Amino acid sequence: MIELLDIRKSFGELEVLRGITLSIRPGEVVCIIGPSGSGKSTLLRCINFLEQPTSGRILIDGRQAYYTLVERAGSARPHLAIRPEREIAAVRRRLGMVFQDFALFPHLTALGNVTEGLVFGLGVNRSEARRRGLDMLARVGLADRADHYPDELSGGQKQRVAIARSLAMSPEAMLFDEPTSALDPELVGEVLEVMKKLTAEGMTMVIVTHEMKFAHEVAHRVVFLDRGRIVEEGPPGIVFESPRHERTRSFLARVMR
Amino acid sequence: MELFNLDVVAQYGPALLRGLSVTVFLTTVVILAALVLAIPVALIRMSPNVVLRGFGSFYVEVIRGTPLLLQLVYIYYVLPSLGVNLDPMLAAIVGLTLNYTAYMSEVYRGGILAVPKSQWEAAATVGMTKARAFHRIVLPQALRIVTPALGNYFISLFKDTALASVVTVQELTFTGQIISARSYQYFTIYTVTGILYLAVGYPAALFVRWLEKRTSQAYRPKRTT
Repeated sequence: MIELLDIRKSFGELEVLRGITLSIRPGEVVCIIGPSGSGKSTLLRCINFLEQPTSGRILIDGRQAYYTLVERAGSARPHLAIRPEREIAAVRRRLGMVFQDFALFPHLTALGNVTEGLVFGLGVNRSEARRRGLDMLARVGLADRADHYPDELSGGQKQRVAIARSLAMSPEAMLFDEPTSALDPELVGEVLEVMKKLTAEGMTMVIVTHEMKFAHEVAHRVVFLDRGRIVEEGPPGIVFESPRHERTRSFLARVMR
Repeated sequence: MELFNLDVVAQYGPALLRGLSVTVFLTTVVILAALVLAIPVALIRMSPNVVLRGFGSFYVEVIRGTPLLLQLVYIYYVLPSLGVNLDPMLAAIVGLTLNYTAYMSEVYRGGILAVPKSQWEAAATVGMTKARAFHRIVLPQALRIVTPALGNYFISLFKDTALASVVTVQELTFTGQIISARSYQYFTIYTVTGILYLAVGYPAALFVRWLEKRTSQAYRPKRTT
């Protein structure tokens, strides 16, 4: 269970997130939609602490994920401090992340991309990592591309390798940051197909997306974000078909032509 | 007496070859030391710790702001008055290494910064610590970016070792000076000296060009099909 409590994030003067409270239950698929600049990606990146929120709390299974109380010499009250790097790495391992621009490791093969985290993040031995890596590539339909470098793959294939890379860590939840936005239209389908399969397997997923049809189809809950606030959230049937807020309606009217 | 005297070549050739071997030795030791040391210096220059970063910047700017010749002279002739006595070869190695480490750390720094931030992030999301991410993900990509620039430093170091002559290291240039002053065969001796530099320097330059070409290609498998 991931809980975000009153998350705020500012970049200098600009307040990108203005108090977001959101929980994601195990097995739930939550799609975050909204105009560009609304803070969707920043919110997603706060969940695995790639962005450090200016304030607010992130709880995973009821525990502060990235902060801990420490005693301070000469002070009666303990204060909140960022957890040591290793603990943060351990939390991140439980949350897979898929980036808009894939962020594959260009100097490693498809298989190398998948096994790298297993070996150097989780500490799995190489032969076991290889076995699991090939397994994961098969799961995204790329078993025959194991020894190809990212440069030799299409955008859709790259993103599927990136998904396999995350899945290999056996995450408890997956975060998707506009996973199809950098893809040619004809390649979007294969990536969405893989994601659909994941939802069917009961994976907890938080997806920032512009694919409204996809969100409608797979989301258990849709969250509409605008100017750093959650304007509206609910089941896709309601948010897409009878949105209560004017801003949601005008956004949907613009993107669903 | 003809201008180019083969007897002179026969007589002093061995001494010049010994000089060349000192030059090659000096180049090899210094380039290897600087290639390694420049990486931590680059990291210090990018450290979030202000004191550390300031220290790194001070070092790099002092080196870049003064002539290499002066640095060598300083280490060999000034440090003894502070109680640090280095023999000529060691003084040359220390001086050249300090100098090249500073310049090459800047190259590494640029290379590390040229690796997209998302590579660090992707490594973090698969549970790698920053140190691991640097070693496994960022450094290999940075090395590829900096190879051509470092190759050029390698070539220029080969020639800069001639400056070690000011601290009396008998490398190729100094050997040439000594022999030509003794034999008055300036034309022959310095021509041969130049040829010897070229005989090593040109293949080295070709090697660097080959490296450059190799690293500018996309990452490709060594597949046979």
